[in-house]
Amino acid sequence: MENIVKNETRRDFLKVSGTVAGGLALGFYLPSGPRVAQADGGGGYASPNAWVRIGLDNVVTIMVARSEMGQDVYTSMPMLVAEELEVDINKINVEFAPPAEVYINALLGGQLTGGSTSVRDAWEKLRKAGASARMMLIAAAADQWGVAADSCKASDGVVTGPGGKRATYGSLAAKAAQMEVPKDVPLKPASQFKIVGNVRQKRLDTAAKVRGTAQFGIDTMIPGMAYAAVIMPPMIGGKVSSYDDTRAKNFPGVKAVVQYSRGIAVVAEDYWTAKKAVATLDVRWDAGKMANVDQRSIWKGLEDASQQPGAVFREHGDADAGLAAAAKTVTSEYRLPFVSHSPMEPQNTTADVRADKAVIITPTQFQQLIPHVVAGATGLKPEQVEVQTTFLGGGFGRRVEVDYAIDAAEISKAAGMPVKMIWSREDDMTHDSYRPAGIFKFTAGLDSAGKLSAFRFHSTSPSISSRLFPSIVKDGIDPFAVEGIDNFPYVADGGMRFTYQMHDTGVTVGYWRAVSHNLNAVALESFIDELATAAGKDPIQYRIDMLDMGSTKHQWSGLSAGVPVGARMKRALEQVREKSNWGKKLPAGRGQGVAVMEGYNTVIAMVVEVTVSANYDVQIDKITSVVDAGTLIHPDQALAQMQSCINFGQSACMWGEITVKDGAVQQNNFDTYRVARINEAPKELNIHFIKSDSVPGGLGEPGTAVVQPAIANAIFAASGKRPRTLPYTPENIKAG
Amino acid sequence: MAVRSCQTQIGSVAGQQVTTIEGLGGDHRVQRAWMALDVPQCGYCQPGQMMSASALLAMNKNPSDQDIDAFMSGNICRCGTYPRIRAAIKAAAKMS
Ligand code: FES
Repeated sequence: MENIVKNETRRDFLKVSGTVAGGLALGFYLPSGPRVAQADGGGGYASPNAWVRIGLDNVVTIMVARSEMGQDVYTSMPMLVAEELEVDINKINVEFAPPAEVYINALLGGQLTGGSTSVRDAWEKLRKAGASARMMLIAAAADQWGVAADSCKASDGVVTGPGGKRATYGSLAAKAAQMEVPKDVPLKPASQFKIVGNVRQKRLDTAAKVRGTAQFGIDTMIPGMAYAAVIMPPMIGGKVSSYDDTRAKNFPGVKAVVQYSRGIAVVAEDYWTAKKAVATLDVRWDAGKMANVDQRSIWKGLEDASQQPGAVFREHGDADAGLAAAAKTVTSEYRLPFVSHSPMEPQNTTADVRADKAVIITPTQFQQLIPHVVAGATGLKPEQVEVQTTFLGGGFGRRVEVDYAIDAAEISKAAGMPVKMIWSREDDMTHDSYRPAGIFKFTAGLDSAGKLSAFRFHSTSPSISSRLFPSIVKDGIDPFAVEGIDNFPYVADGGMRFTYQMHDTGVTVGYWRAVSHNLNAVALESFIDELATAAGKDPIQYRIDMLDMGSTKHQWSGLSAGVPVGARMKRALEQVREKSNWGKKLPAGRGQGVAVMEGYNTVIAMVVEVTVSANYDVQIDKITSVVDAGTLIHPDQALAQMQSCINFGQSACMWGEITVKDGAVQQNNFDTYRVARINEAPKELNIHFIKSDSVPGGLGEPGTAVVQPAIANAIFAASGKRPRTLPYTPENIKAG
Repeated sequence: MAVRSCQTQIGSVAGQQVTTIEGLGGDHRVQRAWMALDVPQCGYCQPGQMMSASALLAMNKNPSDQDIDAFMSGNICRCGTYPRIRAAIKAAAKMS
């Protein structure tokens, strides 16, 4: 397929011919803002561009082309438009955008919410969209009044001109949409921001979420809709061999029992009936290739693969010679398990598939892909598939996958009626695309002063992109598998070499909040702490002294390739040292640990204080973090994202572990897959943002990774035990 | 008493009075506190959080952190709004 753009950075990762059903080809389009003037008479509106709709009744609607899954795009993105459009942000309407070329995320090359890119991609684009619309409104007023445009001013939804002239945006909208789209769109300097950076700005979706009126996918209701409950093969990659639906069919209220690609669905007039009936199905499974796979064999496979040399993704000097010449070497190995996304809203989709069209209403992070995959599954054309995005009850990367939308479309088609398919928690947890497990090996050479002189890193883990976007995987390297360490921020003058060995365990793996930062940076920042201990140095000062103040780069993965981060890391570490009261006297059993990371062009330094009991139970007492995320659009929600990341990372590193037995995932609910509860949340959480007017960094993900090694390092400080196998359970700590 | 609807079969509450998030009225002090502190992220767990919080405040006028942790630990939030839930319950306790 065409539209393949060769580029080694991941920003282009979607500009590829896809492999999913339907033969997807995603092109690259400049967000130049096509004019879609659509005044439709009474109560109509006009659109100066794809982001703004101005009602003739003065109601301004701002389109949000990213999925709202908690991370606040519903407010932060309109804030950018409103800042330049000169409207009251609290009076606007927000609507989720349909799939369209104009809404493609230029950092990812697709209309996709992920990679902590929403605000970064929008930063200039949406302010320009707002400014351009404002200029067109002013031009319309100036034309109408026969005055010069620069004698008019826009403020709070009104254009004013010489001699007390005044016109509302609504009255100018239809004419404005006909005005020429300005080519040169100057933007306000930061000093003039009224909305961007407002610490008092509230979320625009809070009231709906507090009053229970926000529509999640699971709340969808359409006329004539039935409910589908499903049974899917317990074994990963299993298939239906045969089934007996005699009992299910005879359930009062059951409308249809249908087989679809992945499983069997019972379609009924209400969900409870569907659920009860599905439990009566007698299904025989074809277990498939994973039948004899269990967690032990998975680890054995990873161990064997880790003996392979792997592919080099970063190299400088001769690491082996450097290690041979070192005064001391330190070798260590870390193991991280599979973990589950498990957003609170289980996967679901409402699908109405007809002979000539389909409507798919779904909580998705990847609306652009859905017309293509649903077309592939139903025989329709992509342009016959309408997609509506709802609020998402959490996403965390799980909803980049479109599997559940395909399932619902197939079920609707087979049953011949609109259906809302809802997975149970058990369906969801056992049919996730898990954060990869992996083995991470380090050898470091230290000079006689304890400073890092040579460095060797070798990781072995499954590749996510090999399944989802194979064409970005080149020469044995998945850019998403080397994140969090290809931007290794320390100096090792004697040589360094970083290698990645891909290994497919058979378990479906997916992009999980902060992706491989959660593997590589977690292991790395724990290992750096080991080096500080071996060198007898203070962990913060040790890091500061070794930072590469020059050209630290993402070799492969970064959206910020080439940006030096050493100075930003130094500042964050120095500030967190002070703000955390680093090195203070603590009673026995308590300790502080530090970690630092750059990811998504955000630098985070974090100090965690824990108490470790004699039985190696861990309590998180306090977390202090200093964050350099550039300009903050919505400061209170920047804070919320750090709170959120810390919770998500804590859950993963303290308890998160998905295991496989006879090819099936063993954990199916929160009793066996433990996540943080309110009583386990840090007692004290202090997040400080560095004041900055640089471009915004991403905040939806990086904190998730940083908190994990900071906790491990605090556990070591408190107990003398260093957990190298995650999660940090008493057994794994004790073995450290 | 607060129960979680995702874990409750409707038959088990037959004949009893059930209040859901809509029943708080929209202007309940718990809802006002939740709005004042912008507690929800994705928001999916929040009706449950607010129902538990209102049940807690109905029996404990001035809950401590420990009281909140003990009472609220049955409601999971994957988005990590816990620090704000603690603060919002305390704020609601001060409201009339
Ligand atoms: S706000 Fe998302 S699960 Fe609680």
